[in-house]
Amino acid sequence: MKIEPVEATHTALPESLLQIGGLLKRFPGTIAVNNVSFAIRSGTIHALVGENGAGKSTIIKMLSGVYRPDGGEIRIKGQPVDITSPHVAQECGISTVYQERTLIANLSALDNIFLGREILARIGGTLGLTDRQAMRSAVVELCRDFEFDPKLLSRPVEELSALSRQIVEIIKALAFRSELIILDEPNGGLSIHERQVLFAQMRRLRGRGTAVLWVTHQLEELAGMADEVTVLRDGKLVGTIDGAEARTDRVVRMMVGRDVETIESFVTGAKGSAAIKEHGKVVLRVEGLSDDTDLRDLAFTLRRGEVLGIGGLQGAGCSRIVETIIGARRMTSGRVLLDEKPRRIRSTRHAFAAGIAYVPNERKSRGILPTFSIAQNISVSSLPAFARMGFIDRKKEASTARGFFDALGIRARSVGDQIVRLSGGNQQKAIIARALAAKPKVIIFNEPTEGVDVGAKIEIYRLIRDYIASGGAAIVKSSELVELLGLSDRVLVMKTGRIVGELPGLGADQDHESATRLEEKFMSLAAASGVN
Amino acid sequence: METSTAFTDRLGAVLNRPGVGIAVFLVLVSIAMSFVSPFFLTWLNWANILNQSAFLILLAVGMTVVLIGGGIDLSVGAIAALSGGVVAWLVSAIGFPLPLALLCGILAGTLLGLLNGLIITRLGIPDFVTTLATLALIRGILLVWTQGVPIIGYSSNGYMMLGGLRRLPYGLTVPEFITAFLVIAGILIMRFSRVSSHLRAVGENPEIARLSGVNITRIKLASYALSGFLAGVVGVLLAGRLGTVQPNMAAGMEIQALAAAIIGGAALSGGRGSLVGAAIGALTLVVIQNVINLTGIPPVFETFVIGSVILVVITFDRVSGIVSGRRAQVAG
Ligand SMILES: Nc1ncnc2c1ncn2[C@@H]1O[C@H](COP(=O)(O)OP(=O)(O)OP(=O)(O)O)[C@@H](O)[C@H]1O
Ligand SMILES: [Mg+2]
Repeated sequence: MKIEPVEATHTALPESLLQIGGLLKRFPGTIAVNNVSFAIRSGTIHALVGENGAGKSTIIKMLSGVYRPDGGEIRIKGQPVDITSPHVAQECGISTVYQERTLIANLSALDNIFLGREILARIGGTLGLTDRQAMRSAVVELCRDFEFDPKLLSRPVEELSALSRQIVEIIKALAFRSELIILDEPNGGLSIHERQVLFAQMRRLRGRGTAVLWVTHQLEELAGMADEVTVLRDGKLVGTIDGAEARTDRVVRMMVGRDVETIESFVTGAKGSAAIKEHGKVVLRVEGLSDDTDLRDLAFTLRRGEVLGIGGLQGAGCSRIVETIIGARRMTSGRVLLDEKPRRIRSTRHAFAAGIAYVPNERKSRGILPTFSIAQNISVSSLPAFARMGFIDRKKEASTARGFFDALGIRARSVGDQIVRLSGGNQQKAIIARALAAKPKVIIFNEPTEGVDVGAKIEIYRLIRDYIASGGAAIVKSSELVELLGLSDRVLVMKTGRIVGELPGLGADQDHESATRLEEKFMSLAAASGVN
Repeated sequence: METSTAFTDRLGAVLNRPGVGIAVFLVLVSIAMSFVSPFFLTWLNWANILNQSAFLILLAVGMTVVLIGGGIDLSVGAIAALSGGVVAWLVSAIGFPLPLALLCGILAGTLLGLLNGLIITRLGIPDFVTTLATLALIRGILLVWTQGVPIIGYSSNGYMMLGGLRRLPYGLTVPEFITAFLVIAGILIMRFSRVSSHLRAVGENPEIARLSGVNITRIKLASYALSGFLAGVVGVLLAGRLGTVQPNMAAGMEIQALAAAIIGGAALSGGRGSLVGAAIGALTLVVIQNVINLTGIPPVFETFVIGSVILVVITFDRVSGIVSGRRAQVAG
């Protein structure tokens, strides 16, 4: 194990826009940010990376006025500033896309974008009258860039798809001429295309002289995008390096303090091992499934010991299939058979009762019960197992949760902590623990590693493999190709609501094709021209 | 095919607007009633209905604003009574000129509303608890102050006119105009001002509102002050109409206002509600009373009928909400 020397932080260059020095933030039981100093220069993209729980979001929240630092200082253009509220941060020229969703469901997209920063009308502006026309024209261009239909601006965001909502979040930060734009994992849920648009926007901002502070777990994106990369570990600064030197393996080593198996090597390491694996009998059979969108006549089976991947471009219907199977959406025809017996599943609760566990995407809004403890979050889908004479056996609940803590490597102070106190990756593991605790026949994963760091990703892949090895079966919906092809035995490729092809997963591939070749095959199926 | 789904989409969207359900209900009841009682659809009857609903509409609108902001104001009936008492006392005991006394009455209402807001935002006491307490407190003050004896001897022709006891041409009354003016002003503000989105944001998710730079305290204070102001207006007008201020004046009106706001589409969980809906909701409650009077249903049934209507309307909203909720995922 080689310890990377702490690299010199950029000294106060004259053009640095924002400097933080000795920043400190404590939470009960942890020091989330411990004496961190670095500087962000105007006209650069500055990446902030680290494992889940390293303290990235905490720093961002201090810069955005959400949390008050317990120590240290923040300077803007050399002047010490006290960012006491989000409003003050806005006035300092800082706009933020938070990791959490920050849209008001019942407000239109336009109102959300300008919430708190409305453009006031020339007449009556003092009364708070807004100039909707001006607001609209201020963002129309951005909408076009992101291929977001400006007509949707007047729709309440609750009616928009998850993707459109994320675009609205981004527009909300980009719509204002800020000196510093902070993006905390902005590409959660974005497909390849929107990611490219976002990157183009980030470069454009840089060109305009704006500083961009960017948090991502997609380390391979760093090299082409970031001018500087600051790495955190356990709340402490490891160092700031030049973007050009930010090769993935180096960054990972800085992040975790040792070499880590890369996703590619993990995935290909399993190559062939599963090739001759015999799958058991069919546990889940889907027949003739159609719905009131464009899902038409879908049929497939899942056997014991098998991982079935579902992939396709954004809007191809992958999410809708899994949500339909677990009863969150309605099917207009078709049926789902479990152990060859037809089951009517009308809600996730039914699904859990029938033996299908679901790990939802959009963890922050759909996955966690934010006000509940970690233990309660784990037990909630299998409460009957914890019931004793109608009451929940809290001891049993806690000990089960503790078991999962060890098995899954969940890092938290205690199982009684509120789940929102955990970092993203640990929350995700807790949600997977919830699925496992229900002892299901099938687990359906919708984006199993959204917002999860490299190390935790591999741990989650292991969890899925272990579950399969113990006789489970899984469906994985993922928009990360390496993950999809690497985890699955078979991959169904979707396009406009139909299954357009099936590919072997990397591990089960008899022809031993290379990963890139498989990816190419996948893309050509998923994006095949035709009526779109 | 395209156009028909667009049409049903739009129909779904319209039906899902707060207040539309209750408006449909109101029209249906009116049509049915026109067959039962020939008197129902006469101008005279509707002039009565409007005159009676003017006060409830104002309170329901204030309640809706508070509900949208994530609060609830149970003290409006008591505030109205105290405001009326202030006017009656200032005129009869001190000899204030009526306009000045009215101003003082409305100011008292506004300040009491502001007090609610201050307790809630500064002391962090939940909205429900705070206004439940001030409801009792204010009513208690009025009782102690009047020693349970009605305040009289302040009435005048002008005040009776103002309260709607005397009619203008066509059977119209002054409170109707005041209500119309205030409600329209409110609707315009909610439509064109940023206050509306700030209020919704605070009501739906205060944390997000804060992240966006909205001043939550100010919004909360303003909503309660407005509710108090409207209660004050109602109180001083009601004092003019009744000619005496009983210590239990306007008792129970907060519940009617709440009912009107809710059947008009406001959500107790905050963030949602419509002023038009609230006005229609209040009108509906008065129409129901009117129907009961005209059809000879014993008045003891009134409360029961109102309860049923609330349930029916809310169920309708829920069902249409579920239907359009399914639809929602498709869009975008
Ligand atoms: N409100 C809070 N109360 C208590 N502890 C918190 C709170 N917010 C964060 N923490 C803790 O602070 C540490 C840093 O969390 P933070 O959210 O900054 O991590 P992160 O680097 O953004 O991780 P991720 O990549 O998962 O988003 C974690 O240990 C977390 O559990
Ligand atoms: Mg974070």
